[in-house]
Amino acid sequence: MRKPSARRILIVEDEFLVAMLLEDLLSEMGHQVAGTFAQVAEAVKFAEHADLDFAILDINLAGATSFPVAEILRRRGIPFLFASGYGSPGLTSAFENELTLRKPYEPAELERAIAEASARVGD
Amino acid sequence: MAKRPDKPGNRSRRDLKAKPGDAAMQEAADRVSDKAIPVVGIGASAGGIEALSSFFDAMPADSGCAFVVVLHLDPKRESEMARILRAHTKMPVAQVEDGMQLLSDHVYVIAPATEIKLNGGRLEVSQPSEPRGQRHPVDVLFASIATEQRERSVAIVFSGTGSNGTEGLKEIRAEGGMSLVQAPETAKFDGMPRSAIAAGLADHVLAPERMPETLLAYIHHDYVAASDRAESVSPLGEATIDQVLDIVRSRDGHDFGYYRRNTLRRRIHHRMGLRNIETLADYLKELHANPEEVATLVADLMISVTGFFRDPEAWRALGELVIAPLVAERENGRPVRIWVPACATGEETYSIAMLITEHAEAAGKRFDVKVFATDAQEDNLRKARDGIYPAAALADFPPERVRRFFERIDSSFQVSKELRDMVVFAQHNFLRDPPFSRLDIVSCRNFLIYLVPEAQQRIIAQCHFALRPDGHLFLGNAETIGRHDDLFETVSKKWRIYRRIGPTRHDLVDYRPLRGSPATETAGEPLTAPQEAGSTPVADIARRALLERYAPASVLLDQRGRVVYFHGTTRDFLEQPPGEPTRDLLAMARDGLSLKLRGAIRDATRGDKSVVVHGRVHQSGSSRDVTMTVVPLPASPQGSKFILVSFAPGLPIAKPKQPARRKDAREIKAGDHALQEELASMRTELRNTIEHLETANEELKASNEEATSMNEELQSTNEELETSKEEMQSFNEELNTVNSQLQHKIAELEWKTNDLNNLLAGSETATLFLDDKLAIKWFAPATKELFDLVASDIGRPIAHFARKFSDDNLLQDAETVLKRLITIEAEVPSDAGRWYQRRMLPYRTRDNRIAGVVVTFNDITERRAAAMAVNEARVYAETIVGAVRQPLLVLDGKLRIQSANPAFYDLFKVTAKETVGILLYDLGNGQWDIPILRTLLEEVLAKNREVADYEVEHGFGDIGRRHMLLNARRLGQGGGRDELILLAIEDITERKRAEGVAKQHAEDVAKQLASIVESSDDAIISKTLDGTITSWNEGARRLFGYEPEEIVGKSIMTLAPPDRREEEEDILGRLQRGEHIHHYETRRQRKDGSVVWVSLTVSPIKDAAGKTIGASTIARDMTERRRADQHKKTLMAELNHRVKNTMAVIQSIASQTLNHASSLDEAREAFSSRLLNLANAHDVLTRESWQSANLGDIIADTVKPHGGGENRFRIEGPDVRLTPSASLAISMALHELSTNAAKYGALSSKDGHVVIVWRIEGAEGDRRLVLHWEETGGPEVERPKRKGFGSRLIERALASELGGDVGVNYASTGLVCTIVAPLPAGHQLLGERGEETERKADSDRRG
Repeated sequence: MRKPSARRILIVEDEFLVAMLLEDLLSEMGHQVAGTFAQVAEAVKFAEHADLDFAILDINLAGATSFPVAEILRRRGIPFLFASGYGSPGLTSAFENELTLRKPYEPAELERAIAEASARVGD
Repeated sequence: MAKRPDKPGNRSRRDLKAKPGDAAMQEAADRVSDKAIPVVGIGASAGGIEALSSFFDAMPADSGCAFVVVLHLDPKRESEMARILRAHTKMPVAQVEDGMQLLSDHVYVIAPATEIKLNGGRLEVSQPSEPRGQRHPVDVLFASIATEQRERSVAIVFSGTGSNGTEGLKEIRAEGGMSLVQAPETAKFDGMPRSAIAAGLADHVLAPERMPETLLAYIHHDYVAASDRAESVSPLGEATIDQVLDIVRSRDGHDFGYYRRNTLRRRIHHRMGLRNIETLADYLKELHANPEEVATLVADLMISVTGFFRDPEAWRALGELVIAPLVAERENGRPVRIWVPACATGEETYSIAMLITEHAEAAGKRFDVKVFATDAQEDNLRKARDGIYPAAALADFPPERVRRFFERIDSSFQVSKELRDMVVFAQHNFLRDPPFSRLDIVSCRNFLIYLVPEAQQRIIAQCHFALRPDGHLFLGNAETIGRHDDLFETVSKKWRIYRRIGPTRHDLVDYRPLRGSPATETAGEPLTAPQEAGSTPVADIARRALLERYAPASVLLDQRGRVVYFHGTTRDFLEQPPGEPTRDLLAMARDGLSLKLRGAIRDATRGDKSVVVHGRVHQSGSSRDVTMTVVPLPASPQGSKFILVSFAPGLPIAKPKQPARRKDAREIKAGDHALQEELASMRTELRNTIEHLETANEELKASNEEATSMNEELQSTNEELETSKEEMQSFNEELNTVNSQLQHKIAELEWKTNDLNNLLAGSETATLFLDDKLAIKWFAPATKELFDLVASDIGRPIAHFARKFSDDNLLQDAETVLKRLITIEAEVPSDAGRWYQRRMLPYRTRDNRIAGVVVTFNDITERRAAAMAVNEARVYAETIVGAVRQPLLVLDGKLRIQSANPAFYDLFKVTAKETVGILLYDLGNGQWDIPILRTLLEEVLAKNREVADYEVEHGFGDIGRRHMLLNARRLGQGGGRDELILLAIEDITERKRAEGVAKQHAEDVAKQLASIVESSDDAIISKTLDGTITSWNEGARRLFGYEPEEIVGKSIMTLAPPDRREEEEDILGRLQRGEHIHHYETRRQRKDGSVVWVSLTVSPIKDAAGKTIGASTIARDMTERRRADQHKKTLMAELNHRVKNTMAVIQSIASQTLNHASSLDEAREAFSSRLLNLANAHDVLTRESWQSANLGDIIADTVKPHGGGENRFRIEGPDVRLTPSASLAISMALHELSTNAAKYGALSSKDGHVVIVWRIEGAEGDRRLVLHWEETGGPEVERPKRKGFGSRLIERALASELGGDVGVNYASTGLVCTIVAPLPAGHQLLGERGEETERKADSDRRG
C-alpha cells in the first residue's frame, strides 16, 4: 500500500547524474520511481503498459525527443511534466501548454509542479 | 447796592416756591449781593455750536454777565466745547465743576452726563435723575436761575430738537426774567426754539448774533440794573399806572383795576426792560402806537405759573381731605361738579380731574364728572383744550399716571380724550362774569395773590355762592379766605382747604364792576355802590325813603334788555326761572306779563316815548291786574341807553284809555266789558306781533339777500379757484413735459456716457482730463498703465502722481497748452519699455470755454518698431546692393539711370558722376546702345514683363568683349510714383570659359565611374521612376543571372518574387517622393527562379535641377551572411541549453555530495574535486572539439592529480576513442575510483600502485572493451558497509553511458574493478548508440 499522495513515477532522463538526483528527490518525497530511462524507445515500451501515476520527461534524449512518451501518457490520462534546459521554448505546439520545469530546479519547485500537473489531469 | 425793600407781591410769589420764614428771608438778602452778576443761562442741543459761536462772536467780553452753557453732550466722550468756545470769546471758558463760584465775564460749560443748578452763586453739579433721552438739563438750569436771579434771569434757547428749555422758560418768565429764543429760520434744528415760541415764552426771537445787543440793553435797564431805585424814585405813580390800565382796558377789554399795584408796576417795568424803554411816558406812547405791545402786556400781566400737581403736599391733602370723602359719599353715577377759575393752560384742571378719576376708580365708582375750567385769556384756553404738554411737565409723575392719562405725541404728551371730555373750557373773567353754581369743589389757586384785598374778598364771596353747601374751596398756599370766616370753615389751614358753611348769600354776590372798574366809575352813573351808603348825604336819605315809599317797583334795563338794576319789590312781577341765573327781564317776567312787556319795550325804544300797558298776573289761583310803564331814559354821558320799567298793581288810570272804554260800553253789555277789553288788547298784541314778524321777515329777507350776494361772491371765488386750478393743472402738465424731456435727456446722456466709456475702453487710449489747475477730472481705465491712479484720485493734482514713463515736460506742456491753447505732441517711453505718443490739447466746453487739458497717450510701440524695421530693412537692402558683386542699375521709365552700385562702377570703369542721370544708351559713348536690350527694357515697363537670364555678348571699348547675363524687372513703386526698372548685369565671360573646362572634366569622371560600376561585385542597377531598368552591371548579371540585353528596358518587378511585389511598388513610391532607402534586406528572384537574400540600397537620381528622374539600386548577395546568422542563433540556443544541463549536473553532484558527506569539510573537498575532474574532462573534449576523445588521455588526465606527483599508475591499452558523453562518464567513474584509492586504497599508502589496463575482446556484434582497475600495495581492503555515492555513480555512469557492466571485487590485495562495455564492430566510438550512428554531429545529441 502506498500513501495516498505517493505516486509511481516514470523518469525519462538521459543525464544519469540528473536522473540519480531526481530518483533521490522523489524517494524523499515519498514517491516510488517506477522506472528510469535514458532512451526513448525503451521508455515508450515501458510507458505503454506500466502501472504509472506520473511521469517526468526530459525533452531531448540523445538527439530524440520524449514526445512519443508524452503522447502515450496523455492518451492514458497519466499526468506528466517536462523538464528541460530549454524550458517551454523547447516544446512543440502540441505540448506547449504542458507544465515544464526549467533545469536546474529546486526540490520545492518539483513538488509544486507535480501537484499542479496532477491537478490539471484530475480536472 | 441798597437793600431792596421786600414787596408783598414778590414776597408771596416767592413763598410759593421757597420755604416761608426767616431763613428764606435771610437767604433772599444774601442773594441780593450775589445778584450783582446777572446770570445768562444758555440751552442748546443739535446745531447749537454754530449758534453759540455766532452769539459769543458778537458778545462783548466785558458785559459783566456770567454765562452758563448747557448742551446735550455725548456722555461717553470728553467734551471739546470749552475749547471750541474759547475760539469765539475773550472771556475765560471753563467746564463746570461742582461748587464753582460764578464770576462775571466768565463762560461755564456743562460737563458731559451731568446736570447743573445755580445755588447761592455757585454751580452745583449732579448726576441726571432721568434716564438718557428724557433729561432736560436746560430746564433744570433755567429753573434754578429763575429761582435765584429772578428778574435778572436771562435765558437763551438755541438750536436743538425736542422741547428742552420750554419748561424752564416758564419759570424765567414767571420770575420776570428775559427769554431770548433763536429765530427758527436761523437754527439748524428748530425744535427747541419753536417749542419755546409756541408756548408763548419768547420775549425776543432773534438771530444769535443779534442777541447780545438785546441782552446788554436788558441788563443795563433800570428794571434789572437798578430795580430798587426804579421803584422808589421813579415817578411811577398810581395815576400813571392807571393810564396804562386805561389803555389796556380800552384796547383789550381786560380790567386790571383789582390787581395789586406792585405786581402791576413790576410787570409793566419788566416789559419796559424787555422793550428797553426808560420812562413810563415813553411806554405809554409805545402802547398807544403798538397794539401788539398791549396784548403782550396783558399776557404778561396775567401770567401765572402753574403745573401738574403743583405743591404735591397740598394736592395730597386735597385728595385725602376732600376728594376721598366726596367719592365715598357720592352715589355712583351722580354728577360731580368742579370749577377751576383762572385755569391758565389747564395743568391744575387736569390735575384735579385725574385726582378725582383716580380716587373714583380706586373706589370702583363712576361719576358724571364735570370740570369747568375758565380763564380770561382765550390763548390759554386753546392750549388747555389741546392738552399737549412737554415731557418735562410730567417729570414727577408716576409712570402709571402717565400711562393712564396721557398719549405720547413725538416728544410731548397729550392728555387722554377721556380726561379732556370731562373738562369744559370757557372764557370767563372772574372779576366780571357771574360764577358757576352748585359746585362740589372750586380750585382757585394762586390767583388771589395778584389782586387787591377787596377783589380777593369778592372772589371768596363768589366762591361761596358758587359752591353747593359743604362744597370745598382750594386756594394757593399764600392765599386765605381773609375775613370771610363766616362763609367757610377751615379744613386744612396749612394747605388752604375750606368748606362752605351757611346759606347762600346773595347780598354778597356783587356784579357791580360789570361795567368797569371802581377806578373808572363816573359820578354820572345813576346807581351807586351800596358800600358807599355810610357816607350818603341827608338829601339822599330822604330821596331814598321817598323812593321806597312812593316809587313803584322798577327795573332798569340796558339796551340789550338785560336787567341792570332792580328797585323795590319786584317779587310779585318777576321771578328767577329755574337754571342758571338770568338777567333777561322777559325771562324773569311772571306768566302773562312777558308778551305785553316785549311789545311795550319795543314800542318805547322805537318811538323813544313812554308806553303803558297792563296785564294780568296769575298767581296761586288768583289773578291780579298789573300796569307796566316803560320809559326810555335819556342817554348817559357814555352813550349808553337805559330803559326804566315800572310795575304797579291795579288798572292803569291813564286817560287815553277812557274814551275807548266808554264807546265800548255803549255797544256792549257791562258783563262783556272785561272780555272785550281783553280781546282788543289781544288784537293789538297780535297786530304788533304780526308787525314784528313782518319786520323780522324783512330783516330775514335782507339777510337772505346778503347771504345770496355772499354766495355769489363765494361762487366767483370758486370760479377763480377753478381757473387757478386749471392753470395749475396746465402748469403741472408743462412741468410733466419738461420732466419727461429731462428724463429723456438723462437717458440720452447715460447712453452717451456709455458710448464714451466704451469708446475709450475700446480704443485703449489712455485719456486723462485735467482741470485748469491740472487736477485730475477724469481718466480712462487705460491710464492706469501710465499713472498709479484709482477712482478716488479724481480731484488731486496730476503733479502728485508718480509716472510710469519718462516725461519731463508733462506739466510744462500742460501749462503751455492752457496758456496758448495749442496742441502739443510728444513721444514718451514708458518704464515698461513701450512708447507712447502723448497728445495734449485744451479741453473745450460746448460754449468754447477752456476748462482744462485733455491728455491722451497712444501706444505707438508697434508703429515705432515697424518704422525702425523699415529703416533697418532699407539700410540692409542698401548694404546688400552696395556689397553685391553683381553690377546693378536702377532705371526710370525713360531708361535714365537713377542709381548704380559700386560693382557697376568697378566693372565698367566709370564714376557715379558719369553715370547717374544719363540715359542708358548714352552711357560710355553709346556702349549700351544695344537694340535688343532696348526692346526688352521697354517691354519691362510697358508689358510688365521680366527679363530673365538674357544672354548678351557685346564688345565694350575699354574692357573688351563681354558675355553678360541680363536680368531686369520692374521695381514696384507704390503711391503713384514713377515705376523703375532694376537691371542686374552679370558678367559671365569668365564663367563661360570655365564651363568649357568643366565639361571635359565631367566626361572623364563619368568614364571612371562607369568602369567602377562595371567592376563592382554588387549588382548596380539604374531604373526610371516607373521601374524600367536602364542599366545593368556585371555584378547584377552574376547575382541575378540575366544578361544586360535581356533585362534592360524591362520592369524591375521582374526581380521581385511574387510575395514581394508590393514591397517593390512601395520602394518606387518612396523614390518618387525623393526618399533614400538604406540597406533594406529582402528576397529577390533569380533568372532560374531561385530566391536570393539581398540587401538593397536605393537612391534617387536627380538631374541638374535637383529633380528626381530615376533611381539606382545596389543589391548585395546576403545568402551566406544569413546562413552564418542562423548558425550563430542555433549555437547560442545550444550553448544556453548545455550550460543549463551542466548546471543540472552540478546541482546533482552538489546534492549527492552533500547528502553523502559526513562533514561539511569533507563535502567541500569532495565537491570541488569532482567539479575539478569534470572540468578537466571538458578540457579534454574541448581539445578534441567535442568530437571524440582518446580513452588513454581521459584516464591519464583523470587519475594524474591523485598520484601525488609520483607515477603510481600503469595505464596500458589499445587506441580506443570515446564519445564525449562516454568520455565524461569514464572520467567521472575513474575519478571516484581514484578518490577512493587515495582515501582508503592503494594510493593512501606510500607504495601503493594502480594498474589500469584495457583490451578489446570478441568480434563482430559481440566486440567489447574490457577495462581493469587493479590496486596493489595499499592497505587491506574491506567491502564498505554501505554503497556510497561513488559506487552508485560508477555503476550508473557506465551503465547509462557505455551500456556496460561494472564489477567491483574487494580483494585483500586491493580493490579490483572491471568494466565491460560493448563496442560492436562498425562502431568507431565507444558509447556510440545504434540510432546515433547516422548523426553527423555529436554535439547536437544532447538534450
